Amino acid sequence: MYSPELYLNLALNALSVGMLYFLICSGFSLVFGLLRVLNFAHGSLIMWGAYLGVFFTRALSSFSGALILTAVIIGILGVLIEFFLIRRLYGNELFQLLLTFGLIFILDEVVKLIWGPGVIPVEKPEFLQGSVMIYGEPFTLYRLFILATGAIVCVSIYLLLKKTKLGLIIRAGIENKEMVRALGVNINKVFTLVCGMGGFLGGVAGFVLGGFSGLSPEMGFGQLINILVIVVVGGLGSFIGTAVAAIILGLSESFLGFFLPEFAMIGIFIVMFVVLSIKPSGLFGGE
Amino acid sequence: MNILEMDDVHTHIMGFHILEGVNLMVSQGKATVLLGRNGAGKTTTMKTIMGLTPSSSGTILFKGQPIQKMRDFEIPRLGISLVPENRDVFSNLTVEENLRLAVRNGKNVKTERLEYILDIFPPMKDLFKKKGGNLSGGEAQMVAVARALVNEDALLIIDELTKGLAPIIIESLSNVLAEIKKNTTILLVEQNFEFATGICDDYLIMEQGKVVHSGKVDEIKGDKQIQSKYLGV
Repeated sequence: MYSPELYLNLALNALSVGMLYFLICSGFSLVFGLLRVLNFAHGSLIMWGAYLGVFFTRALSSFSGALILTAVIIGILGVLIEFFLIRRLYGNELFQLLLTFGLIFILDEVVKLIWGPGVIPVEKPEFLQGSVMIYGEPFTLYRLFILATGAIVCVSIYLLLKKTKLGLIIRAGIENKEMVRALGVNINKVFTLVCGMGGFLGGVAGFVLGGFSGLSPEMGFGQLINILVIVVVGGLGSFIGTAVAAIILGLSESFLGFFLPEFAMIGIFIVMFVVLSIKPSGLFGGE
Repeated sequence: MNILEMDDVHTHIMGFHILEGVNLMVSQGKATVLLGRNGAGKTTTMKTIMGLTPSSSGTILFKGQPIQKMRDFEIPRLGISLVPENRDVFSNLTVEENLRLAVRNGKNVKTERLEYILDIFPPMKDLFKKKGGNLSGGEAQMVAVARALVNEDALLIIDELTKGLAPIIIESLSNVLAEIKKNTTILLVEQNFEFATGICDDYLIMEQGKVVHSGKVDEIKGDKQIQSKYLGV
Protein backbone atom coordinates (compact mmCIF):
# COMPACT_ATOMS: atom_id res chain seq x y z
CA MET A 1 0.00 0.00 0.00
CA TYR A 2 1.45 3.35 -1.05
CA SER A 3 1.19 6.48 1.06
CA PRO A 4 -0.80 9.55 -0.08
CA GLU A 5 2.48 11.52 0.03
CA LEU A 6 3.92 9.18 -2.58
CA TYR A 7 0.91 9.66 -4.84
CA LEU A 8 1.26 13.42 -4.48
CA ASN A 9 4.94 13.24 -5.33
CA LEU A 10 4.16 11.03 -8.31
CA ALA A 11 1.47 13.43 -9.49
CA LEU A 12 3.85 16.41 -9.23
CA ASN A 13 6.51 14.54 -11.19
CA ALA A 14 3.90 13.62 -13.79
CA LEU A 15 2.79 17.23 -14.02
CA SER A 16 6.35 18.37 -14.59
CA VAL A 17 6.75 15.83 -17.40
CA GLY A 18 3.43 17.03 -18.84
CA MET A 19 4.59 20.63 -18.66
CA LEU A 20 7.83 19.72 -20.41
CA TYR A 21 5.79 18.05 -23.16
CA PHE A 22 3.59 21.13 -23.34
CA LEU A 23 6.62 23.40 -23.76
CA ILE A 24 7.95 21.12 -26.48
CA CYS A 25 4.64 21.05 -28.37
CA SER A 26 3.30 24.57 -27.85
CA GLY A 27 5.24 26.25 -30.67
CA PHE A 28 4.45 23.45 -33.10
CA SER A 29 0.76 23.60 -32.19
CA LEU A 30 0.57 27.38 -32.54
CA VAL A 31 2.18 27.33 -35.99
CA PHE A 32 0.06 24.44 -37.23
CA GLY A 33 -3.13 26.00 -35.84
CA LEU A 34 -2.80 29.14 -37.93
CA LEU A 35 -0.63 28.22 -40.89
CA ARG A 36 -1.69 24.57 -41.30
CA VAL A 37 1.99 23.79 -41.79
CA LEU A 38 3.36 20.68 -40.06
CA ASN A 39 6.79 22.02 -39.19
CA PHE A 40 8.71 18.79 -38.67
CA ALA A 41 11.83 20.89 -38.06
CA HIS A 42 10.33 22.14 -34.78
CA GLY A 43 12.22 19.40 -32.93
CA SER A 44 15.45 20.68 -34.46
CA LEU A 45 14.63 24.22 -33.34
CA ILE A 46 14.20 22.81 -29.83
CA MET A 47 17.58 21.07 -30.14
CA TRP A 48 19.19 24.34 -31.22
CA GLY A 49 17.52 26.00 -28.26
CA ALA A 50 19.12 23.43 -25.97
CA TYR A 51 22.62 23.84 -27.40
CA LEU A 52 22.46 27.64 -27.58
CA GLY A 53 20.98 27.70 -24.07
CA VAL A 54 23.97 25.87 -22.63
CA PHE A 55 26.38 27.96 -24.71
CA PHE A 56 24.88 31.28 -23.60
CA THR A 57 24.52 30.21 -19.97
CA ARG A 58 28.26 29.57 -19.92
CA ALA A 59 29.14 32.67 -21.95
CA LEU A 60 26.90 35.14 -20.13
CA SER A 61 27.00 33.57 -16.68
CA SER A 62 23.34 34.53 -16.48
CA PHE A 63 20.65 31.85 -16.52
CA SER A 64 17.70 34.15 -17.17
CA GLY A 65 19.65 36.24 -19.69
CA ALA A 66 20.64 33.07 -21.55
CA LEU A 67 17.03 31.85 -21.55
CA ILE A 68 15.74 35.09 -23.09
CA LEU A 69 18.57 35.38 -25.62
CA THR A 70 18.15 31.75 -26.71
CA ALA A 71 14.40 32.11 -27.14
CA VAL A 72 14.79 35.34 -29.13
CA ILE A 73 17.43 33.84 -31.46
CA ILE A 74 15.35 30.72 -32.14
CA GLY A 75 12.35 33.01 -32.63
CA ILE A 76 14.28 34.96 -35.27
CA LEU A 77 15.25 31.64 -36.87
CA GLY A 78 11.52 30.79 -37.01
CA VAL A 79 10.81 34.13 -38.70
CA LEU A 80 13.56 33.56 -41.28
CA ILE A 81 12.33 30.03 -42.05
CA GLU A 82 8.79 31.34 -42.67
CA PHE A 83 9.85 34.41 -44.63
CA PHE A 84 12.36 32.76 -46.94
CA LEU A 85 11.12 29.18 -47.19
CA ILE A 86 7.66 28.21 -45.92
CA ARG A 87 5.95 31.29 -47.41
CA ARG A 88 6.58 29.95 -50.91
CA LEU A 89 4.90 26.64 -50.11
CA TYR A 90 1.54 27.52 -48.55
CA GLY A 91 -1.08 25.08 -49.74
CA ASN A 92 1.52 22.55 -50.93
CA GLU A 93 1.65 20.01 -48.10
CA LEU A 94 4.03 17.61 -49.83
CA PHE A 95 6.66 20.28 -50.43
CA GLN A 96 6.21 21.61 -46.90
CA LEU A 97 6.90 18.12 -45.58
CA LEU A 98 9.99 17.76 -47.78
CA LEU A 99 11.22 21.23 -46.81
CA THR A 100 10.81 20.80 -43.07
CA PHE A 101 12.35 17.31 -43.20
CA GLY A 102 15.27 18.73 -45.18
CA LEU A 103 15.68 21.40 -42.52
CA ILE A 104 15.97 18.69 -39.87
CA PHE A 105 19.02 17.25 -41.62
CA ILE A 106 20.63 20.65 -42.13
CA LEU A 107 20.01 21.90 -38.59
CA ASP A 108 21.10 18.60 -37.02
CA GLU A 109 24.27 18.31 -39.11
CA VAL A 110 25.33 21.88 -38.34
CA VAL A 111 25.03 21.08 -34.62
CA LYS A 112 27.23 18.01 -35.13
CA LEU A 113 29.80 20.13 -36.96
CA ILE A 114 29.96 22.71 -34.18
CA TRP A 115 29.50 20.67 -31.01
CA GLY A 116 30.23 17.12 -32.20
CA PRO A 117 27.99 14.08 -32.50
CA GLY A 118 28.26 12.88 -28.90
CA VAL A 119 26.02 13.33 -25.89
CA ILE A 120 26.98 16.32 -23.73
CA PRO A 121 25.91 16.20 -20.08
CA VAL A 122 24.62 19.50 -18.75
CA GLU A 123 25.16 20.67 -15.23
CA LYS A 124 22.16 22.48 -13.86
CA PRO A 125 22.76 25.95 -12.40
CA GLU A 126 23.54 25.92 -8.73
CA PHE A 127 20.26 27.45 -7.63
CA LEU A 128 18.33 24.68 -9.42
CA GLN A 129 20.31 21.80 -8.00
CA GLY A 130 18.96 19.73 -5.14
CA SER A 131 15.36 19.28 -4.09
CA VAL A 132 12.68 20.50 -1.74
CA MET A 133 10.60 18.33 0.55
CA ILE A 134 6.88 18.34 -0.24
CA TYR A 135 4.83 16.39 2.30
CA GLY A 136 7.90 14.43 3.28
CA GLU A 137 8.87 13.44 -0.27
CA PRO A 138 11.73 15.05 -2.21
CA PHE A 139 10.89 16.99 -5.36
CA THR A 140 13.75 18.28 -7.50
CA LEU A 141 14.11 22.02 -7.95
CA TYR A 142 14.62 21.62 -11.68
CA ARG A 143 11.21 19.95 -12.02
CA LEU A 144 9.75 22.82 -10.04
CA PHE A 145 11.41 25.17 -12.53
CA ILE A 146 9.84 23.20 -15.42
CA LEU A 147 6.42 23.44 -13.76
CA ALA A 148 6.79 27.19 -13.26
CA THR A 149 8.09 27.83 -16.78
CA GLY A 150 5.33 25.73 -18.32
CA ALA A 151 2.68 27.52 -16.27
CA ILE A 152 4.06 30.96 -17.21
CA VAL A 153 4.18 30.06 -20.90
CA CYS A 154 0.68 28.54 -20.80
CA VAL A 155 -0.87 31.58 -19.07
CA SER A 156 1.03 34.02 -21.33
CA ILE A 157 -0.18 32.35 -24.51
CA TYR A 158 -3.71 32.09 -23.14
CA LEU A 159 -3.73 35.81 -22.34
CA LEU A 160 -2.21 36.65 -25.73
CA LEU A 161 -4.86 34.64 -27.57
CA LYS A 162 -7.80 35.80 -25.44
CA LYS A 163 -7.00 39.38 -24.51
CA THR A 164 -5.14 40.96 -27.43
CA LYS A 165 -6.09 42.02 -30.95
CA LEU A 166 -3.27 39.83 -32.28
CA GLY A 167 -4.78 36.87 -30.43
CA LEU A 168 -8.16 37.69 -31.91
CA ILE A 169 -6.65 37.72 -35.41
CA ILE A 170 -4.85 34.42 -34.78
CA ARG A 171 -8.02 32.72 -33.53
CA ALA A 172 -10.02 34.08 -36.45
CA GLY A 173 -7.25 33.18 -38.91
CA ILE A 174 -7.24 29.58 -37.69
CA GLU A 175 -10.90 29.41 -38.72
CA ASN A 176 -11.09 31.44 -41.93
CA LYS A 177 -8.04 33.19 -43.38
CA GLU A 178 -9.86 34.61 -46.40
CA MET A 179 -12.40 36.42 -44.25
CA VAL A 180 -9.63 37.85 -42.08
CA ARG A 181 -8.01 39.23 -45.25
CA ALA A 182 -11.37 40.62 -46.37
CA LEU A 183 -11.46 42.58 -43.11
CA GLY A 184 -8.23 44.33 -44.09
CA VAL A 185 -5.74 42.30 -42.06
CA ASN A 186 -2.33 41.52 -43.54
CA ILE A 187 -2.37 37.91 -42.46
CA ASN A 188 1.01 37.14 -44.04
CA LYS A 189 2.61 39.40 -41.45
CA VAL A 190 0.71 37.51 -38.76
CA PHE A 191 1.96 34.20 -40.23
CA THR A 192 5.55 35.42 -39.93
CA LEU A 193 4.96 36.65 -36.40
CA VAL A 194 3.40 33.35 -35.36
CA CYS A 195 6.37 31.44 -36.80
CA GLY A 196 8.58 33.70 -34.72
CA MET A 197 6.48 32.94 -31.66
CA GLY A 198 6.66 29.22 -32.48
CA GLY A 199 10.44 29.48 -32.67
CA PHE A 200 10.54 31.48 -29.43
CA LEU A 201 8.56 28.76 -27.66
CA GLY A 202 10.83 26.12 -29.22
CA GLY A 203 13.81 28.03 -27.85
CA VAL A 204 12.31 28.09 -24.34
CA ALA A 205 11.49 24.38 -24.61
CA GLY A 206 15.00 23.54 -25.78
CA PHE A 207 16.58 25.59 -23.01
CA VAL A 208 14.54 23.74 -20.39
CA LEU A 209 14.96 20.33 -22.03
CA GLY A 210 18.75 20.72 -22.28
CA GLY A 211 19.03 21.18 -18.52
CA PHE A 212 16.69 18.24 -17.95
CA SER A 213 18.13 15.58 -20.25
CA GLY A 214 21.48 16.88 -21.54
CA LEU A 215 22.43 17.56 -25.14
CA SER A 216 22.58 15.31 -28.16
CA PRO A 217 22.08 16.03 -31.88
CA GLU A 218 19.24 13.48 -31.91
CA MET A 219 17.29 15.09 -29.07
CA GLY A 220 15.09 17.16 -31.41
CA PHE A 221 14.19 14.36 -33.80
CA GLY A 222 13.52 12.15 -30.78
CA GLN A 223 10.82 14.57 -29.63
CA LEU A 224 9.05 14.55 -32.99
CA ILE A 225 6.93 11.48 -32.19
CA ASN A 226 5.88 12.96 -28.84
CA ILE A 227 4.98 16.24 -30.54
CA LEU A 228 2.85 14.56 -33.19
CA VAL A 229 1.08 12.28 -30.71
CA ILE A 230 0.26 15.17 -28.39
CA VAL A 231 -1.10 17.53 -31.05
CA VAL A 232 -3.16 14.70 -32.57
CA VAL A 233 -4.56 13.64 -29.16
CA GLY A 234 -5.29 17.28 -28.25
CA GLY A 235 -6.93 17.95 -31.61
CA LEU A 236 -4.98 19.40 -34.52
CA GLY A 237 -4.85 23.17 -34.26
CA SER A 238 -6.25 23.41 -30.72
CA PHE A 239 -3.87 25.12 -28.33
CA ILE A 240 -5.88 24.18 -25.23
CA GLY A 241 -6.05 20.64 -26.59
CA THR A 242 -2.27 20.54 -26.80
CA ALA A 243 -1.91 21.68 -23.19
CA VAL A 244 -4.45 19.13 -21.91
CA ALA A 245 -3.01 16.28 -24.00
CA ALA A 246 0.53 17.07 -22.82
CA ILE A 247 -0.57 16.88 -19.18
CA ILE A 248 -2.53 13.64 -19.78
CA LEU A 249 0.46 12.06 -21.49
CA GLY A 250 2.79 13.23 -18.71
CA LEU A 251 0.46 11.67 -16.14
CA SER A 252 0.07 8.42 -18.06
CA GLU A 253 3.79 8.07 -18.66
CA SER A 254 4.73 8.72 -15.05
CA PHE A 255 2.03 6.60 -13.45
CA LEU A 256 2.52 3.73 -15.89
CA GLY A 257 6.26 4.02 -15.38
CA PHE A 258 5.74 3.55 -11.66
CA PHE A 259 3.01 0.93 -11.51
CA LEU A 260 3.47 -0.91 -14.84
CA PRO A 261 7.01 -0.06 -15.99
CA GLU A 262 6.84 -2.49 -18.90
CA PHE A 263 4.08 -0.33 -20.43
CA ALA A 264 5.78 3.02 -19.80
CA MET A 265 7.26 3.29 -23.28
CA ILE A 266 3.96 2.63 -25.03
CA GLY A 267 1.82 4.65 -22.61
CA ILE A 268 1.42 7.60 -24.97
CA PHE A 269 0.30 5.30 -27.78
CA ILE A 270 -2.26 3.63 -25.51
CA VAL A 271 -3.65 7.08 -24.67
CA MET A 272 -3.69 8.01 -28.36
CA PHE A 273 -5.49 4.77 -29.24
CA VAL A 274 -8.15 5.28 -26.56
CA VAL A 275 -8.74 8.98 -27.36
CA LEU A 276 -8.88 8.58 -31.13
CA SER A 277 -11.15 5.53 -30.85
CA ILE A 278 -13.66 7.64 -28.93
CA LYS A 279 -13.08 10.98 -30.72
CA PRO A 280 -11.14 10.69 -33.98
CA SER A 281 -10.61 14.46 -34.20
CA GLY A 282 -8.83 14.52 -30.82
CA LEU A 283 -9.92 15.93 -27.47
CA PHE A 284 -10.51 19.51 -28.63
CA GLY A 285 -10.45 19.07 -32.40
CA GLY A 286 -13.30 20.20 -34.63
CA GLU A 287 -15.47 17.62 -36.33
CA MET B 1 -20.46 60.13 -59.86
CA ASN B 2 -19.33 56.51 -59.88
CA ILE B 3 -17.75 55.13 -56.73
CA LEU B 4 -16.80 51.86 -58.44
CA GLU B 5 -16.03 51.04 -62.06
CA MET B 6 -14.93 47.81 -63.70
CA ASP B 7 -13.62 47.95 -67.24
CA ASP B 8 -13.12 44.74 -69.24
CA VAL B 9 -12.21 42.71 -66.17
CA HIS B 10 -11.22 39.09 -66.72
CA THR B 11 -10.69 36.58 -63.92
CA HIS B 12 -9.40 33.03 -64.14
CA ILE B 13 -9.74 30.49 -61.37
CA MET B 14 -7.64 27.31 -61.64
CA GLY B 15 -7.40 27.77 -65.39
CA PHE B 16 -11.13 28.40 -65.88
CA HIS B 17 -12.12 31.70 -67.46
CA ILE B 18 -14.83 32.88 -65.04
CA LEU B 19 -15.15 36.62 -65.69
CA GLU B 20 -14.99 37.28 -69.42
CA GLY B 21 -14.75 41.06 -69.58
CA VAL B 22 -16.95 42.56 -66.90
CA ASN B 23 -17.93 46.20 -67.35
CA LEU B 24 -19.95 47.85 -64.61
CA MET B 25 -20.47 51.09 -62.74
CA VAL B 26 -21.85 51.70 -59.28
CA SER B 27 -23.15 55.19 -58.54
CA GLN B 28 -22.22 56.83 -55.27
CA GLY B 29 -25.02 57.01 -52.74
CA LYS B 30 -27.17 54.49 -54.60
CA ALA B 31 -27.95 50.83 -54.10
CA THR B 32 -27.12 48.68 -57.11
CA VAL B 33 -28.15 45.07 -57.48
CA LEU B 34 -26.17 42.50 -59.43
CA LEU B 35 -28.60 39.91 -60.72
CA GLY B 36 -28.08 36.70 -62.64
CA ARG B 37 -28.53 32.97 -62.58
CA ASN B 38 -26.31 30.58 -60.62
CA GLY B 39 -22.84 30.38 -62.14
CA ALA B 40 -23.14 33.72 -63.96
CA GLY B 41 -20.07 35.04 -62.12
CA LYS B 42 -21.67 37.30 -59.51
CA THR B 43 -19.75 36.04 -56.48
CA THR B 44 -16.50 35.96 -58.46
CA THR B 45 -17.13 39.60 -59.39
CA MET B 46 -17.46 40.47 -55.70
CA LYS B 47 -14.32 38.53 -54.83
CA THR B 48 -12.41 40.12 -57.70
CA ILE B 49 -13.34 43.60 -56.47
CA MET B 50 -12.12 42.63 -52.99
CA GLY B 51 -8.89 41.14 -54.39
CA LEU B 52 -9.70 37.69 -53.02
CA THR B 53 -9.68 36.21 -56.53
CA PRO B 54 -7.43 38.68 -58.37
CA SER B 55 -8.27 39.71 -61.91
CA SER B 56 -6.12 38.56 -64.82
CA SER B 57 -6.65 41.78 -66.79
CA GLY B 58 -8.82 44.87 -66.93
CA THR B 59 -9.22 47.86 -64.65
CA ILE B 60 -11.10 48.29 -61.39
CA LEU B 61 -11.45 51.83 -60.10
CA PHE B 62 -12.61 52.71 -56.60
CA LYS B 63 -13.18 56.47 -56.22
CA GLY B 64 -11.08 56.84 -59.37
CA GLN B 65 -8.13 54.90 -57.94
CA PRO B 66 -7.03 51.67 -59.67
CA ILE B 67 -7.26 48.79 -57.20
CA GLN B 68 -6.86 45.72 -59.42
CA LYS B 69 -3.19 45.31 -58.55
CA MET B 70 -3.60 45.88 -54.83
CA ARG B 71 -3.24 43.08 -52.32
CA ASP B 72 -6.45 41.69 -50.83
CA PHE B 73 -5.96 43.20 -47.36
CA GLU B 74 -5.26 46.69 -48.77
CA ILE B 75 -8.59 46.99 -50.58
CA PRO B 76 -10.88 46.99 -47.51
CA ARG B 77 -8.66 49.68 -45.98
CA LEU B 78 -9.72 52.03 -48.80
CA GLY B 79 -13.26 51.92 -47.45
CA ILE B 80 -14.90 48.81 -48.89
CA SER B 81 -16.52 46.19 -46.71
CA LEU B 82 -17.89 42.81 -47.64
CA VAL B 83 -20.73 40.68 -46.34
CA PRO B 84 -19.84 37.33 -47.91
CA GLU B 85 -22.26 34.80 -49.31
CA ASN B 86 -21.84 32.36 -46.42
CA ARG B 87 -21.74 35.13 -43.79
CA ASP B 88 -18.41 33.78 -42.51
CA VAL B 89 -19.06 34.82 -38.94
CA PHE B 90 -16.21 33.36 -36.91
CA SER B 91 -17.79 30.53 -34.96
CA ASN B 92 -15.16 30.40 -32.20
CA LEU B 93 -15.35 34.11 -31.49
CA THR B 94 -18.13 35.86 -29.62
CA VAL B 95 -20.28 38.38 -31.47
CA GLU B 96 -18.45 41.19 -29.68
CA GLU B 97 -15.11 39.73 -30.82
CA ASN B 98 -16.40 39.37 -34.38
CA LEU B 99 -17.18 43.08 -34.40
CA ARG B 100 -13.93 44.07 -32.68
CA LEU B 101 -11.89 42.07 -35.21
CA ALA B 102 -13.27 44.23 -38.01
CA VAL B 103 -12.10 47.51 -36.42
CA ARG B 104 -9.28 48.86 -38.60
CA ASN B 105 -8.20 51.85 -36.56
CA GLY B 106 -8.08 51.25 -32.85
CA LYS B 107 -8.92 48.39 -30.58
CA ASN B 108 -12.64 48.68 -29.93
CA VAL B 109 -15.71 49.62 -31.93
CA LYS B 110 -16.25 53.40 -31.70
CA THR B 111 -19.19 54.34 -29.51
CA GLU B 112 -21.07 56.18 -32.27
CA ARG B 113 -20.66 53.24 -34.66
CA LEU B 114 -21.88 50.84 -31.98
CA GLU B 115 -24.91 53.04 -31.37
CA TYR B 116 -25.57 53.16 -35.12
CA ILE B 117 -25.33 49.37 -35.34
CA LEU B 118 -27.61 48.88 -32.34
CA ASP B 119 -30.11 51.34 -33.84
CA ILE B 120 -30.26 49.19 -36.95
CA PHE B 121 -30.14 45.85 -35.11
CA PRO B 122 -31.62 46.33 -31.60
CA PRO B 123 -31.50 42.56 -30.79
CA MET B 124 -27.70 42.61 -31.23
CA LYS B 125 -27.08 43.81 -27.69
CA ASP B 126 -28.33 40.50 -26.30
CA LEU B 127 -26.00 38.53 -28.54
CA PHE B 128 -22.66 40.11 -27.67
CA LYS B 129 -21.42 37.26 -25.48
CA LYS B 130 -22.80 34.52 -27.73
CA LYS B 131 -20.34 32.50 -29.84
CA GLY B 132 -20.66 32.88 -33.60
CA GLY B 133 -21.17 29.13 -33.94
CA ASN B 134 -24.27 29.26 -31.74
CA LEU B 135 -26.15 31.86 -33.81
CA SER B 136 -29.23 31.13 -35.90
CA GLY B 137 -29.09 31.89 -39.64
CA GLY B 138 -30.84 35.22 -39.17
CA GLU B 139 -28.63 36.19 -36.22
CA ALA B 140 -25.47 35.27 -38.15
CA GLN B 141 -26.60 37.42 -41.09
CA MET B 142 -27.26 40.28 -38.70
CA VAL B 143 -23.73 39.95 -37.25
CA ALA B 144 -22.18 39.70 -40.72
CA VAL B 145 -23.86 42.95 -41.79
CA ALA B 146 -23.08 44.64 -38.46
CA ARG B 147 -19.42 43.65 -38.81
CA ALA B 148 -19.33 45.33 -42.22
CA LEU B 149 -20.72 48.53 -40.69
CA VAL B 150 -18.09 48.87 -37.97
CA ASN B 151 -15.77 51.13 -40.00
CA GLU B 152 -18.10 53.61 -41.71
CA ASP B 153 -16.94 52.48 -45.15
CA ALA B 154 -17.99 54.18 -48.37
CA LEU B 155 -19.02 51.02 -50.20
CA LEU B 156 -20.78 47.99 -48.76
CA ILE B 157 -20.73 44.84 -50.88
CA ILE B 158 -23.30 42.24 -49.88
CA ASP B 159 -23.38 38.79 -51.42
CA GLU B 160 -26.68 36.88 -51.28
CA LEU B 161 -28.10 38.57 -48.20
CA THR B 162 -31.35 36.60 -48.17
CA LYS B 163 -29.93 33.16 -48.94
CA GLY B 164 -31.43 30.51 -46.70
CA LEU B 165 -33.38 32.95 -44.55
CA ALA B 166 -37.05 32.79 -43.53
CA PRO B 167 -39.46 35.27 -45.26
CA ILE B 168 -40.05 37.20 -42.03
CA ILE B 169 -36.31 37.79 -41.59
CA ILE B 170 -35.98 38.82 -45.24
CA GLU B 171 -38.68 41.42 -44.67
CA SER B 172 -36.80 42.90 -41.71
CA LEU B 173 -33.55 42.93 -43.71
CA SER B 174 -35.31 45.00 -46.30
CA ASN B 175 -35.85 47.73 -43.69
CA VAL B 176 -32.24 47.36 -42.54
CA LEU B 177 -30.86 47.93 -46.04
CA ALA B 178 -33.12 50.94 -46.50
CA GLU B 179 -31.60 52.41 -43.34
CA ILE B 180 -27.99 51.60 -44.34
CA LYS B 181 -28.59 53.07 -47.80
CA LYS B 182 -29.03 56.51 -46.27
CA ASN B 183 -25.30 56.68 -45.46
CA THR B 184 -23.56 54.04 -47.58
CA THR B 185 -23.37 53.01 -51.22
CA ILE B 186 -24.47 49.39 -51.59
CA LEU B 187 -23.60 46.78 -54.19
CA LEU B 188 -25.88 43.84 -53.62
CA VAL B 189 -25.67 40.43 -55.22
CA GLU B 190 -29.06 38.84 -54.98
CA GLN B 191 -31.17 36.05 -56.43
CA ASN B 192 -34.34 37.20 -54.71
CA PHE B 193 -35.71 39.51 -57.42
CA GLU B 194 -38.57 40.97 -55.39
CA PHE B 195 -36.35 41.77 -52.43
CA ALA B 196 -33.60 43.33 -54.54
CA THR B 197 -35.80 45.46 -56.73
CA GLY B 198 -37.71 46.67 -53.67
CA ILE B 199 -34.57 48.30 -52.28
CA CYS B 200 -32.17 49.06 -55.11
CA ASP B 201 -32.03 51.98 -57.52
CA ASP B 202 -29.91 50.45 -60.31
CA TYR B 203 -29.51 46.95 -61.64
CA LEU B 204 -26.87 44.93 -63.48
CA ILE B 205 -27.53 41.53 -65.01
CA MET B 206 -24.71 39.04 -65.47
CA GLU B 207 -24.61 36.08 -67.77
CA GLN B 208 -21.65 33.84 -68.55
CA GLY B 209 -19.10 36.09 -66.89
CA LYS B 210 -20.29 39.37 -68.42
CA VAL B 211 -22.69 42.15 -67.56
CA VAL B 212 -25.30 41.90 -70.30
CA HIS B 213 -27.87 44.46 -69.11
CA SER B 214 -27.90 47.43 -66.81
CA GLY B 215 -30.17 50.34 -66.00
CA LYS B 216 -32.70 51.65 -63.50
CA VAL B 217 -34.54 49.09 -61.41
CA ASP B 218 -37.89 50.68 -62.30
CA GLU B 219 -37.28 49.74 -65.96
CA ILE B 220 -36.75 46.07 -65.28
CA LYS B 221 -39.65 45.71 -62.84
CA GLY B 222 -42.09 45.72 -65.74
CA ASP B 223 -39.89 44.02 -68.31
CA LYS B 224 -41.08 40.42 -68.20
CA GLN B 225 -38.98 39.49 -71.21
CA ILE B 226 -35.66 40.31 -69.53
CA GLN B 227 -36.81 38.80 -66.25
CA SER B 228 -37.70 35.58 -67.99
CA LYS B 229 -34.66 35.44 -70.27
CA TYR B 230 -31.90 36.19 -67.78
CA LEU B 231 -33.34 35.59 -64.35
CA GLY B 232 -35.90 32.84 -64.82
CA VAL B 233 -38.47 34.91 -62.91
